[in-house]
Amino acid sequence: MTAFIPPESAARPREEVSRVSLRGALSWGDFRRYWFLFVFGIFVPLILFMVFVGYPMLNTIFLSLFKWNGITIAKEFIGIQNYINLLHDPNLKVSFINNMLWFVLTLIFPVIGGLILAAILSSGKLFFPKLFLVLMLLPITLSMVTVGTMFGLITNPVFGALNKALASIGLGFIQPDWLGPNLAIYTLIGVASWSGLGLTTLMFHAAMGQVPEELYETAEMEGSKAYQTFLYVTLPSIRPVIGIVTILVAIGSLRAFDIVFIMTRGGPFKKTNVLGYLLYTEAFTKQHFGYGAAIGTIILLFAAVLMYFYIRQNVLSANQ
Amino acid sequence: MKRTSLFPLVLLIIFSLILGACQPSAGTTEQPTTQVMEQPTSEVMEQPTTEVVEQPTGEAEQPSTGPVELSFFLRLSEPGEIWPETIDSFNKANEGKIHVTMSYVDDTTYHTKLPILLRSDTPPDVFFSWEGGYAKAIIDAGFVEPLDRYFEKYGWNDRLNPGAISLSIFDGTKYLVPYYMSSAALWYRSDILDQYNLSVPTTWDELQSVCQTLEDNGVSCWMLANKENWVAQFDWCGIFVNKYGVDAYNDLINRKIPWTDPRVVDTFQTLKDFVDSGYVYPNPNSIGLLDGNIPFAQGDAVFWYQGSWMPQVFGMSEAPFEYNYTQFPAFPDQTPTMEVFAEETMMIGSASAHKDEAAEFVDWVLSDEMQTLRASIGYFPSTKGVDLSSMSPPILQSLGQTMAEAGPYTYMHIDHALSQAVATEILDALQAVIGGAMSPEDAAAASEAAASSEMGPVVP
Repeated sequence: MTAFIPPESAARPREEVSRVSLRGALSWGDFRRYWFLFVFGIFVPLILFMVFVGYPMLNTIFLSLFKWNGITIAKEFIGIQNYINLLHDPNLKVSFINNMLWFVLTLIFPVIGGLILAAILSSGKLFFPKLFLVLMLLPITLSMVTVGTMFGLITNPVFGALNKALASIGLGFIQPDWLGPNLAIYTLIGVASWSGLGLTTLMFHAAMGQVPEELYETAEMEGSKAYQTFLYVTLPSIRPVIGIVTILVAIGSLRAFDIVFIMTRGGPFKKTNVLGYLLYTEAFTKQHFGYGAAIGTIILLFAAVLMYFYIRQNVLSANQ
Repeated sequence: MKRTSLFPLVLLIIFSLILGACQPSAGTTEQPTTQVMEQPTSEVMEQPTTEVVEQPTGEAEQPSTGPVELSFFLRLSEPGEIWPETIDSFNKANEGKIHVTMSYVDDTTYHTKLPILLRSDTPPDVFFSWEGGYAKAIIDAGFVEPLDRYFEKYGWNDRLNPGAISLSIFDGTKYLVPYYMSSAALWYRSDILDQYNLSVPTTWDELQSVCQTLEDNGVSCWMLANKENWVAQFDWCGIFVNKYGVDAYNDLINRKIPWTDPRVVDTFQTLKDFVDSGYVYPNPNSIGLLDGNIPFAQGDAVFWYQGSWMPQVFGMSEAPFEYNYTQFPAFPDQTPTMEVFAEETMMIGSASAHKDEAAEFVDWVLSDEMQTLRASIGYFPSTKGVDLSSMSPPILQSLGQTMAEAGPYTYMHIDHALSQAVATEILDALQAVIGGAMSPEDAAAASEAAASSEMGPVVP
């Protein structure tokens, strides 16, 4: 993944790269010489970021210190009471567990599944590989609202195609309630995984295409079996991409909202609540805007930790 | 000027532009609204344009040059051209005097959009509101104009149904005007009952007997499509009110008795027993309102206690099956009570500079002509004496008549009567009881916790 560094910088010796360090760039001479770059490459994006991302973030944190129903003009300052209440909120616990479950299971299906599919695709032993890739990528083109609506119809207990299909192959005795309390969260995660599988497959497929052919030839000469080549050649070679995909999946699991909103609205009886949906119901349904902001701040903290690992992984992979 | 010396200047300009864009406009959000709230009503009426609200356009500053511009904000939930037609006809009738402009959003967006607009420096003159808990929050925040003088002026006290008038009163003052009423009714498949030689049950015991017969014949007795989480409250309220009386229910809503009251627990238990007995169509918490129409239409479920809008779900006059309605089955020693509530209401903003004109528009919506127009698409009028003959299928005419005769206010179901913060918790608990994930006692305790947290302690 060298794409994150301009080619000339990547090719430059280490000493020269470090010379264009932060300290060097801040000299007034550099400022005057490259003012256009500094203004439109750094300050304008920075200001836009502060206005459209930084300010809402800080405002959310600020709002989390108040009790406010979103209707009155006055807000009541309550300090960290919203955070104290969060500690005792059973809904937060359920939502957090669901988010963790979402993370673990989406790690298994889209990441491991994507790896396997990418390996099959890269093996060259597949008929119509491009058609396969197109079919794999199809879900990416659908919005989550469309996906949620579609699977809502498929899993409907009255007329859903899934149960009808089960019945048609003699498994009519199973007929589970896909959106019932025991299965709903797994159904949602399954749908999200289906939707994300194409992207992870594409990323792994692209990474596998970068693995030097000589490594495979050497492995073949030494009598390596296909699975050994995959384990000892392919996987280590694409490790940085696996790291990035894993962190992206983790961030995606924190952002889980749309599928929940469309398919279950957190139900039945809050069994499919996730942090994002909990925030929505607290702020916009129950009009506890301060409390919702506190949940948003917690999500922000989690996301910040994950972003740290993501950026670190990016830097690591770039250095490699 | 040297090229490099432009740098600080460019920075300054960009900063100024961005900060300028972020500044609120001359009339800040708080100021106009606060001013109006502090003004006694009579003063606001006497000095409508110069002191109360800054007018954004030159036109409004010189009212003699054009009509008074009214903004009307609503959630649009109905099909057809009813609102555009209503507004066009009003604008035509008041050409040169008043001009109404409508803007609307969907139901979900409206919840959040309205408070933002009301706090802004251009709040709507007239706006839609739900009745009960939602309305009270807006009223308590000072955004709504008291309407008693307009009730007098336009004779709404005589023209509106008694139930509609009761629903407009908050702490002794009238704040809203219902323009579309609804009710709850027990819908049933008359053809299926005929098929099994069953008569319409009038008591809870008769219902159990009918349900048993239907179950014996492989037909689900009751549809409870509660995926959306609000549907089962009709059943819960139906049981509570008809078992313990409307006064007890209103005491519960008004925080005179706690949600841990044995009557509340018993109502949860009664509904749970009914579900556990197998009389309810399977997977009630996974079936949405519209999904439920399929088994109902196919004759796999026979009874459905739901709103007066159900004929629209059934397909109006083209419903491919026979159906009818009745009241909720009576419990011993109780007379059945029909819930009649305001589905949609209008309010006039306290910050409006044109309250009199806004009231004139509201009066237009309440006119016989407009109420008849609404009735033609199956929406029940809030005023008396409206010709219901245009309502189709004819069952709606009959239901409309029953609603008009229901007398004064009865009760509102939970999510109309209470704020969303309380109602959401109660409805979640109800869903959990139906799904067997919570005991009636725990559901009552969870409901009480929400009510206590939001509404304070019980005051008998």
